[in-house]
Amino acid sequence: MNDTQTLRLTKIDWRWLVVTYCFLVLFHLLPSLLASSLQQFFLSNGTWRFILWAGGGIALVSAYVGRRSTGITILEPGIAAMLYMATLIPTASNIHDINATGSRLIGLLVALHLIAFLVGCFGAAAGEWLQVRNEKEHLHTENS
Amino acid sequence: MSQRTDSPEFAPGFIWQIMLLTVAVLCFAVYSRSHEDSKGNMGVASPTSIFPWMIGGKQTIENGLRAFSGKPPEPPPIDDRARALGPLLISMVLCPTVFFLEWRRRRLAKASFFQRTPLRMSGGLYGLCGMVTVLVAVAVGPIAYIGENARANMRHAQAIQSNRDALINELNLLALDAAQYYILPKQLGSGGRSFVGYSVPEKNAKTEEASYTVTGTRNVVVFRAVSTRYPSCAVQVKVDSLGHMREWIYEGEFR
Repeated sequence: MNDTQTLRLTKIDWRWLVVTYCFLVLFHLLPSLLASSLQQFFLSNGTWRFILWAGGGIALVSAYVGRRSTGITILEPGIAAMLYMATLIPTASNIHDINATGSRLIGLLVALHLIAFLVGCFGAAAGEWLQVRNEKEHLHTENS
Repeated sequence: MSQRTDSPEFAPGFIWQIMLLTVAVLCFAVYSRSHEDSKGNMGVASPTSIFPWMIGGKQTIENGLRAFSGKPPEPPPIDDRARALGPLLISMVLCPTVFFLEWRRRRLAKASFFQRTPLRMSGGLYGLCGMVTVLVAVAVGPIAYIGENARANMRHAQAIQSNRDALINELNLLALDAAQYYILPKQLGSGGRSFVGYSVPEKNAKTEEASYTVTGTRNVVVFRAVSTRYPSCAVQVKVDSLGHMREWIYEGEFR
């Protein structure tokens, strides 16, 4: 990876950041709120189900964004996922019912945000990989 | 990985439109979160859901609680009706219509879901409606099956309970008859302080609900009722010289 590519990786496209956050709210939070039985299932039974539910949604949306964007879009979904987690915890989770206070609660919150960031980045990277694969296939088809 | 190009990725105004929609959804999320704390008349919170049976379930619970408190059931309030009708129209009429029309348009235009056209609000709505349509379609089947299964189980349990109650009622009458036989003198065709010679009256030996048999000694008789509707179910009871019924034994699904 040369310096130009490194610069591109660290340069954040705010439009994709905003769009990823909006996609997460629209395509993950809204359906979960509407299907309240799903919400009951995932949010009322501890941290693991919540992480699976949130992580799965973040990974899928980030992968779509990585696949759909024209350039390298990895950090944007990661940051958007972190912001989304910050939205999700007060609006849709029952995390405050968990028996954790003080530093343990702060640790849990930090861990959740970190997990969201990582899942977002990995999802976007998977999307980018799909994008490259499809472009190669397309080029191959055109050449043949 | 591909390089960034200057090709427009977003249609004009797309970001503002999607941001407005997101703000609306967040307001809805905050509203539904705060609404969870506000309870109905009998302490049951009204769910906000695209599944109208959630609201139906809430109404059933409220009616049950009212009946338990000795109050008559009330018709659902207008806001609950609106809360059921609105999502019903959105999830089962509006969203599938938008989704299938857009899907058809894309099929005719031979456009792919991943195609590199600028992102438009119509695409976002297409995705959203598609998600709601799929969610409802996936949920309806298992929920209908589980609901029907639960109703069938409940009906069966109620039928068993009714049959058991009927058997107990008829056994009470037979116990009275046996006690009468025990008390009355032999001159009147009865036992004269004995159950010896007692048999179930012919008209009561087989009823719509069960068939009855009796065995016994001088001072105790044992009635056994085998259900006609559910032959694996039976009730057995001892009747002593005072006419007291004791040592009830339930068999099969009566247990």
